[in-house]
Amino acid sequence: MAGYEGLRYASLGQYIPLDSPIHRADPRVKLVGAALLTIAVAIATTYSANLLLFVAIFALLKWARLRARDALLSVRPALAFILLLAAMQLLFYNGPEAQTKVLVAWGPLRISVASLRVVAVSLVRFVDLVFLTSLLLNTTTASALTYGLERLLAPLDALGLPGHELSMVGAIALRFIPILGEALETIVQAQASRGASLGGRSRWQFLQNARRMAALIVPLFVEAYRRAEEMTLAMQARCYRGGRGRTHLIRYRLNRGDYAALGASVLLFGGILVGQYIAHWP
Amino acid sequence: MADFLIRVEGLRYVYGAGSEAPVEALKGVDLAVPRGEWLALIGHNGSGKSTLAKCLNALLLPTAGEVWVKGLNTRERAHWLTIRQTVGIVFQNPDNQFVASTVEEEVAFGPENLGLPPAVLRERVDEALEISGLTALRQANPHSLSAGQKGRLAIASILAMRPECLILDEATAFLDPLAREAVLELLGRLHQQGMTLIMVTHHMGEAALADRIVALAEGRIALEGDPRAFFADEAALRRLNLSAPAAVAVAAGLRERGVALPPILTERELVEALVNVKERLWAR
Amino acid sequence: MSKHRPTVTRQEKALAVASERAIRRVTTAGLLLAITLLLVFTTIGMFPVPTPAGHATIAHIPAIIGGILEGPLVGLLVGMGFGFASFARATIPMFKDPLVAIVPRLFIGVTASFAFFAVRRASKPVLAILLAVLLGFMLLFSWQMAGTILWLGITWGVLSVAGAAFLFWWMRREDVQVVALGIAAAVGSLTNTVLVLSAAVLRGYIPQEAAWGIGLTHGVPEVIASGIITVAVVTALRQIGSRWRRARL
Repeated sequence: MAGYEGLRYASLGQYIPLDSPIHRADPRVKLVGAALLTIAVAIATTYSANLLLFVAIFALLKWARLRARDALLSVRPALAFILLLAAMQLLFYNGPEAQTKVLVAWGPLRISVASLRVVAVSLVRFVDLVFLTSLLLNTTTASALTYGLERLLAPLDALGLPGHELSMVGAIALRFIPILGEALETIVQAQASRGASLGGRSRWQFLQNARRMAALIVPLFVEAYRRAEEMTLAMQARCYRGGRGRTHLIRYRLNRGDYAALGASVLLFGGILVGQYIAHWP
Repeated sequence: MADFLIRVEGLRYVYGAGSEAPVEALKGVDLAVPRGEWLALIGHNGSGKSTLAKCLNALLLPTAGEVWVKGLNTRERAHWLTIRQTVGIVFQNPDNQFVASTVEEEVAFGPENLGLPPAVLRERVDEALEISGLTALRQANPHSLSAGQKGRLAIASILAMRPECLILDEATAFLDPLAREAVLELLGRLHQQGMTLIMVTHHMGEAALADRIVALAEGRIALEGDPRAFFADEAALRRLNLSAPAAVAVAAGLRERGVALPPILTERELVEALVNVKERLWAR
Repeated sequence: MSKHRPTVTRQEKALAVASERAIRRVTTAGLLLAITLLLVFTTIGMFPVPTPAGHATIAHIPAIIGGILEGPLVGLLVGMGFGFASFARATIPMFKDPLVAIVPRLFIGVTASFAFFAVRRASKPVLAILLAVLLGFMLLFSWQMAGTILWLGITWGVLSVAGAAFLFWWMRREDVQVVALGIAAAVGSLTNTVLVLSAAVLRGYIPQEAAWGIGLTHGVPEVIASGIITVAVVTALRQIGSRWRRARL
């Protein structure tokens, strides 16, 4: 089973240690920037807005010294599926403005100006978001991410919401992925040695599959709860009492470049909004 | 009264009090730990030794009886921060104690919780890393360390809070001999600098290093004394189903066979005594 | 030396427990999130089903369990993590849209939690009536759908009746607690299916008819798998929880 190989290396922060302005940027700025650009990409429906965003994001990727090919590598297995979906969308799209201007019609199938745009936009949007994900995760360490998250959520603490706790949950999760991965490997091996077969699962024996799955998942949860229990004690023993009164060893200070980057992403976001909804770009 | 760092009086602890099946883990324990003592806490699974350890820094509150740390009662919530900072505890599995993603930030976690200013944090972290010999690994991921390094990191991250007493709750149980040696060496150094140590352990050789051994059985103190007296009481050891360290057992066996030996506790003492015996035989 | 007091006052005990509980909630949520990420980022979270896509997911189960055992807040948090992970991991355009990948996932643990606390103390007759009402709705819906696509409507109808019959038989057999767990898991799983597909239709990624098909082929196996696994996990955790208390001495 290929999926169990290299489990211990499975981690969210596939940080690639390079030296670039993006790598050095403050994690808070990167998080806010990524969020703004993600929203911008999600709401951009016109050709011009998408072109602008694509150029901006591609430039950032180059600036971070990341390669577009590496970023896209993860989606290659799904390429055929993506193209199939795009083709279906192109032929069967019947949104509100689907009847606008039909370019090709063949029986029940028709390609209109609107469906062409929807397909083109969703493909570009997809590539944009793949790049954005790499931009954030490949240039930022897990601890920097947690720090940025905690700082950004700090205003929530003032409102009595668990901002600090939220980032703590994230930090603990990132730390325990490899550990639970190892635990899972052990469970798989233990069950294999008891003669439980894990390979060659037929998709038709789906009740058996669910039961077999439970045999893997139940020990994993038990393990997780046992560790959570110990972790609770250890944190208490180290005087943890939540975010109140906590200080930080490592502090980031926003420099001029960070402010500039922040300003640029706000500007881009605003530009998309204005261009699309007020200036009515094509 | 002597300068006791920790005092325990009539301590009882019940798990699941009020539930259908309450379990009484401690049934009346009296104990006083003077400043600077190295105390070994031994006993079988379920004897209550871990529970006792957790009562000493307010992780568990007594069902009845009292625990004082530096004269502060563990029942007083206002004192918890001071108590937990004074008496640090290291648990068995380091992997379940680490919170941060670098060694340095891991060590900083405790002091950060105490709300110390960044400059002081830096100083504390550097000091703790220095003592535990992890300075070169400060940027490493705790998960990638060796077992012995993990053990030392767990201790370092408590040391950074500048405790007066360190409790090790079976912290060496899963270590290989080499890693165990490294951790024990660190503990020895700390003890020389005046740190009070309380070591919960299964390992009799480790217990022999202590100033005093306390054996728990079924929630009560069954036997206590300095290691020589403790392991000399063979009848009591047998009754408690505890074994003496290998060196002590070998020496006892030799004495039974008529070899005259001085009191033996550690392997080194045994070797020296045997060398003496051999020389005497040669001389004859 | 402080004065001698034999027992902890109730107020002090409540304070102590509350803070420990808060920390435990953080660590448990962290571990559940770690499981979620593990399931999303490896293939263990996929399990084979007889559909064109070939697999359904169980990565939403930690969110359901978090909601049931630790309350709606933890359920929300773990669900959010699931959303972000599936967004970051997405290999098809539909899930590279935060409105499809993230927002619907926020509700998985929340609805599961509310469902669990609502039916946990209900009696079996009440549950049976609820089931009958649900069946009524499902049949009405099948009838309507049969008006547009005949075979899909008939399939839904047959499946609803079969499902209700099975549930009725199962409810008579099992403990109310177990039934409550099963219902909560089903509700959480359905929340995921329904909201994700609705969002996908609203955002124009898939036509409405396709959504019904996917709902049938993915939603149903996922509901069943969630039910089986959630019941197994929670029961195991409860048993072990009481054993730990004894072993922790």
